[in-house]
Amino acid sequence: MRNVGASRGALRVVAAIARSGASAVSLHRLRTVSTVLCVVAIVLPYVVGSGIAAGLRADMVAAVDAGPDLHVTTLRFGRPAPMPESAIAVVADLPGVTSVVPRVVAETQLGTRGESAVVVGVPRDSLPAHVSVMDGRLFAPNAPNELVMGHDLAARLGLKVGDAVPPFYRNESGERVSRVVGVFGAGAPLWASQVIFTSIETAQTISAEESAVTSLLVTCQPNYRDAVAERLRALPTLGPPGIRPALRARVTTRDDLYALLARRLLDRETLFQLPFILAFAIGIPLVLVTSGVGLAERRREAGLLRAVGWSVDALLLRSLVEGALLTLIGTSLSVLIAFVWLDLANGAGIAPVLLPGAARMPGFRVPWQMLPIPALLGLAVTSVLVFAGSTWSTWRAATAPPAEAMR
Amino acid sequence: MTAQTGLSVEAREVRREFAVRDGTAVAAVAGVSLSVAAGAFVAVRGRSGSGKTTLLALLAGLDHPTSGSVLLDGVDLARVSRAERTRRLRPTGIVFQNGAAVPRLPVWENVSIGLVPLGVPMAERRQLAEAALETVALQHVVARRPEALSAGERQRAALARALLHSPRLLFADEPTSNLDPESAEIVCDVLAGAHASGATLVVASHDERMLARAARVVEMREGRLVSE
Ligand SMILES: Nc1ncnc2c1ncn2[C@@H]1O[C@H](COP(=O)(O)OP(=O)(O)OP(=O)(O)O)[C@@H](O)[C@H]1O
Ligand SMILES: [Mg+2]
Repeated sequence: MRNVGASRGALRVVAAIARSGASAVSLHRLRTVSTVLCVVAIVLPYVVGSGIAAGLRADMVAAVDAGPDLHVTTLRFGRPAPMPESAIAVVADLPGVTSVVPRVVAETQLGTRGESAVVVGVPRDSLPAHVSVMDGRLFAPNAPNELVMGHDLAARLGLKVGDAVPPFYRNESGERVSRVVGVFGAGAPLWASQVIFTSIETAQTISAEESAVTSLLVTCQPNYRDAVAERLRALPTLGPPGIRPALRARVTTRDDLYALLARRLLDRETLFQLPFILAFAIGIPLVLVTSGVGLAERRREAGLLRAVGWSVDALLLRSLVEGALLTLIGTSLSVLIAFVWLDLANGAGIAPVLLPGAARMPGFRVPWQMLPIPALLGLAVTSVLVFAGSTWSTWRAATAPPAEAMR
Repeated sequence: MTAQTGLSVEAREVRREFAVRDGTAVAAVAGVSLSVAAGAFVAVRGRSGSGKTTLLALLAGLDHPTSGSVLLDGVDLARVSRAERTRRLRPTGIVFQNGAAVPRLPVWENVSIGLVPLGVPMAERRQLAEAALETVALQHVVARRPEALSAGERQRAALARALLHSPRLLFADEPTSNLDPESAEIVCDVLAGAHASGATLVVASHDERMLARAARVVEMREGRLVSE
């Protein structure tokens, strides 16, 4: 027999040991399956949560991008107050203003359980572009008390097209019955799935503020935005001239919204970390337990390999490669499942956990964006866990006398 | 086969105790001194439970004596670092009594697994393993899993593994115990061949064929050597 006892160079040695570690993945099936499942249990919630958080951020930024240059509301004695319709013309007349869209926002209680819902009154031709009616039609311009509802809200209240909304609201002019004429959903963003759109007039009736609006969405000519905002803030009143107390304009620019958004999203993203922290807390003992799966057999194997000339370092490298592959498989599987879950299943089941108010099968497109950072972070964290568990047990087996390890 | 020089091994007052459940200790090897010169062929016989397997594991550096010392090529294994011990033990080989193998790993890979940390490429390992398996008449099980082998086949595969890197000191623990006369003869021939090419050989056995070939036979009884 030839003398094959001589070593073939460090790179070859590492490659051969790494290959042996890779094949150990299929040798230790039970341990492979249990470890991969643990990695998925830790990484999947994090990847899904971060994916939705990133999607929300992108959605909101897009909404602000597509929104008006200025939002105008009014304050009386420093508190929000309704704005007379006459203010629309005042703002529209300012130099540099290209359009002014009024909006009435009212809150109301609906259904037998008195669920609160937001009613938004807008001119029919200035509905947000994504409000495409899924079922039924839009509210007619002149017909009062016609409602178009977000899918999830309709589902929660058990309402469908044609249903009358019974003791909907009551005011001085008596009890009004409204009718659902349309339901929108699929493709609409998250916030819209929870609201009711109706005409300005209906919304005014509901809010019991006849001929008043809540806010104005102002679009300006390029470069006029700051000047218009300045002029609005300088106006003594947006109410009828001479009448006290004055109605001061409060102006929110697009930049203000970006700043506000950044702060809000930070809070929300902290919330998204929670499931991960939980999974992590459960994951640590789980991974440590799985590093014990098939331990007796792997211990015997380590003893045998030591007996046929493997060094402790070679055994550790082998188990490191095996562990790295396990976490890589688990993380890839998590990303794959997350992708299918978010893209094909639209976050079914998990959306309501992360997005309060969403239905189990959300009626809106669940926003998501898969970024590399969460997957890499999950890989790093689970690698540390798996390495810690397997390195320890491999070290123990490899440093024991082989005859003892093999028993 | 290329001729080579064997390694000597020596046990000095070696004792190995095992703790048993009731808190007492059994001495599987109770003070053995044995000097095996380079190139020698020593057979160890003795009743079941007399301590042969334990002694071989101690001589092969796979177990640590409770007291006493084992010298490989004149060097006390307890006095060198773990890495140094691994390096010094590399030119030795052992055939385990039960033919221990890595479960589910194909026979040829099991036979050549000791070459992995030397960086020997896969194709070459397979070639070497096939050749080694052929010398023990196992060419037909090359790609099988060890679970699918009989006890005797497993033992012979273990012999092929031990021979693969041309050891200078070879231990074999009852290598013919599960074999028919014909297969036992093959194993005896292979071991004798290794000895003829220069390897030192220590065999635990009851097999008369094996004992007849050994230059020296020692007997163990209750952990001690009783005769030479
Ligand atoms: N790990 C252990 N723990 C406790 N006792 C042990 C252990 N290993 C061996 N022994 C005991 O030491 C004694 C010697 O065992 P050993 O395996 O060396 O005998 P043997 O001569 O090889 O026997 P056999 O011919 O049956 O293989 C036996 O009495 C056995 O029960
Ligand atoms: Mg024995």
